[in-house]
Amino acid sequence: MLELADVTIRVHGRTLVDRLSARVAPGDVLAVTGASGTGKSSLLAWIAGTLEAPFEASGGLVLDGRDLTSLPIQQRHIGLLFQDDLLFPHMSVHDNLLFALPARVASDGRSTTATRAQRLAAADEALTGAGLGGFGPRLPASLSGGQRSRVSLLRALLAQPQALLLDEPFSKLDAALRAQMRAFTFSTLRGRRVPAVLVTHDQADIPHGAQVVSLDA
Amino acid sequence: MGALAAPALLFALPLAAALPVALWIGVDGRAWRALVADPLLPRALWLSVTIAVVSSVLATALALWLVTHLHGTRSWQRMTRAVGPMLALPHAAFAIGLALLVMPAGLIARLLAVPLGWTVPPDWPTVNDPNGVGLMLVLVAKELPFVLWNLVAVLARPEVAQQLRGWLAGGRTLGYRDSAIWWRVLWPLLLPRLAWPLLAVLAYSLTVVDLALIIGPASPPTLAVLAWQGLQDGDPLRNAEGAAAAVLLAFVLAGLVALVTMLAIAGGRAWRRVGSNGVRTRSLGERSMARLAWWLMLALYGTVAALIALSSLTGVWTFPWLAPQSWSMGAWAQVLDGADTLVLSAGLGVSATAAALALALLWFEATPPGWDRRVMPLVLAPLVIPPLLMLTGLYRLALPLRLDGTLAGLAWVHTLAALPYVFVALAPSWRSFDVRYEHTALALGRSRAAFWWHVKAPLLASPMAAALAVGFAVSVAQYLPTQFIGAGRHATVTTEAVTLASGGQRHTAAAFAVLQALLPAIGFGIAAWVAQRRQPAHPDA
Repeated sequence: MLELADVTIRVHGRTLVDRLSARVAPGDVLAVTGASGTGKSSLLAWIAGTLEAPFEASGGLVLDGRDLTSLPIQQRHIGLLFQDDLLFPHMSVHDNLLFALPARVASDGRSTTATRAQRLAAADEALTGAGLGGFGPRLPASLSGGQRSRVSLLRALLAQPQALLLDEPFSKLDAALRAQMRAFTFSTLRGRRVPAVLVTHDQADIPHGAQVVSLDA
Repeated sequence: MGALAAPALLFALPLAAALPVALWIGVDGRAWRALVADPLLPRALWLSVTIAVVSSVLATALALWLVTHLHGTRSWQRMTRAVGPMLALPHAAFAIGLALLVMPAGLIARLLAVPLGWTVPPDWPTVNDPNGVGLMLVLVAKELPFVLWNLVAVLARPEVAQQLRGWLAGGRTLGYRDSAIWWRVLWPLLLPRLAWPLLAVLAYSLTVVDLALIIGPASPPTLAVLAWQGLQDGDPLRNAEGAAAAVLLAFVLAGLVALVTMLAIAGGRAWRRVGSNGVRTRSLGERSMARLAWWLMLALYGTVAALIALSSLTGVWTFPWLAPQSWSMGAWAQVLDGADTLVLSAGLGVSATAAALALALLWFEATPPGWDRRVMPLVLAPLVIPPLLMLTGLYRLALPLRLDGTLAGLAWVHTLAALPYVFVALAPSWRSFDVRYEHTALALGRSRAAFWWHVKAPLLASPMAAALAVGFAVSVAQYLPTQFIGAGRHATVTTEAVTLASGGQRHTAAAFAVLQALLPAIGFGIAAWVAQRRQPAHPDA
């Protein structure tokens, strides 16, 4: 459960987000819409922990009972997806996924360090599940746009985030691919029971049953 | 803020302290009276100003002329590729090689001797000549690639390239040929952006010491050499006179800059009137002339490089023979005898560059991008403040710290020398690195260190290698700081090359010049290799 309480974001005396409160249950989506410049991305940056001056923000952020407001980005366990896939271009698909996969795995209630073979197996399992079996050794540049988007989502999920933020994730894909990626993304999120916040200006991006917040004044 | 304090402390503080110290030493009344009473002063001052002005104007004009007529032609890509290697040939090595070409017993005289029936070298005033023609020649030839490199960099910026196409197309539809559009419209618009590099050319030409020692006028020498001779003197009064001369040099530079600025403003107005006079000129075949001039310049560089290598292996070579009568490894044996010279040059270069890289990275990682613009004047200041003045101050700072004459002191001044270049070389790629990569990596739960090590450093390896190569080349080429702070106790390939060449020992000097050129070439070679291995496989590509 991701909870926002009275979130307010200002920049240069202008209020972008005014006392926004919301609760996103596991597997649900909170869609934030609005024209550009209305503070959608600032809200996302604040949740992720990357909002910087001159923006000022206040409010509460609780994820699965943990108060995140003062935690640095790497301790929040919140994944990020942008309109660009941002796969590390010098690393193979495998290495991109292994970069995200935690080094320790839980087995029989104990935490142990996974071997590289175990980690590779986990990465391959994720790839196969996304219809990308055998793509592990390839460099991101050799993949199509849609394939890269899927790898990017897999990478975010392999870090085992407790929530996911999506910043216009489909806007750079062509129309046919966009519909495919939407279905893939939201069914995956529902399956993993990850709460998600989606920022978009395209109504068609918003999945059925999502809560919608508009930031248009 | 701690991370910020380190670069500031190690870079800005010494420079900020050195200048007042140098000025304080240099404004001593007795020193000024001694300087004014020096019979060499008027001539030295005149020489310095004429050499600096003539060579800066010629190098700039030649560069503008070449770009005007070669931009957009098939020769353009070849020219831009050649500029880097030309820049990489060190100044001192070039001066030594050029002397071998133009001196009375040089290659040109030998080529003329056979048809003209000469048996003794002609009485040419080309090396250490009283008017500094040889020095001007070196400065024009060596500053030309620097100006060109800056021009190419400005023209290659996406926003400039786009505007350029528009203006050229607009001018053509009005019936002007391209070169007319360059002179009438483009240069008046673009030149203000080149103020810093052109200022650096003027400052360098006015204050250069090592080139003046190799090929410049000897007696009286240029003002910079006069100051340097004084600063090296054990006699306190002569020493103070040298410091006063260094201060005078700074005032002369300031005066010249003010004059050039005024002329540029007034000239710009007059230029606009001429530019809008509506006259459409016809081509006089300048394009072929520019291509020829460029080929001649390449040939000059090639000949100079070849002559250095040849001369280092020459035994007996009497005039007017075209080829040496005998070959000798004597010069190289002498060089290898003092192998520690080579080791010190490379060691200083590596440590100074590594330190400069560390300082620059500390700055980039700890500050927001907007701060670069604010510190840029401070970073670039060492390129325009006369090094003699700066070093006079740095030397006084080094004395109480007991850094004078020590390797630590040398590493320190070499770091100060390399840092501006490393900083400028790294800034564009570091600052344009997509911050969302970092946010993504952190959101995946990884530490900043892991992100830096696995993602940022590998992706920026080739700009880092390029910056290191530039810094290394700068360090290897340092003459004045090495002699000054090293108190003449430590020899590098550059100090040896300059000292031997100014002492007339051309063969051994040539051998050191080969090394002086070879060391940075190795650095650039490694950087090119890293760039090739790390061919960025960008997802948007």
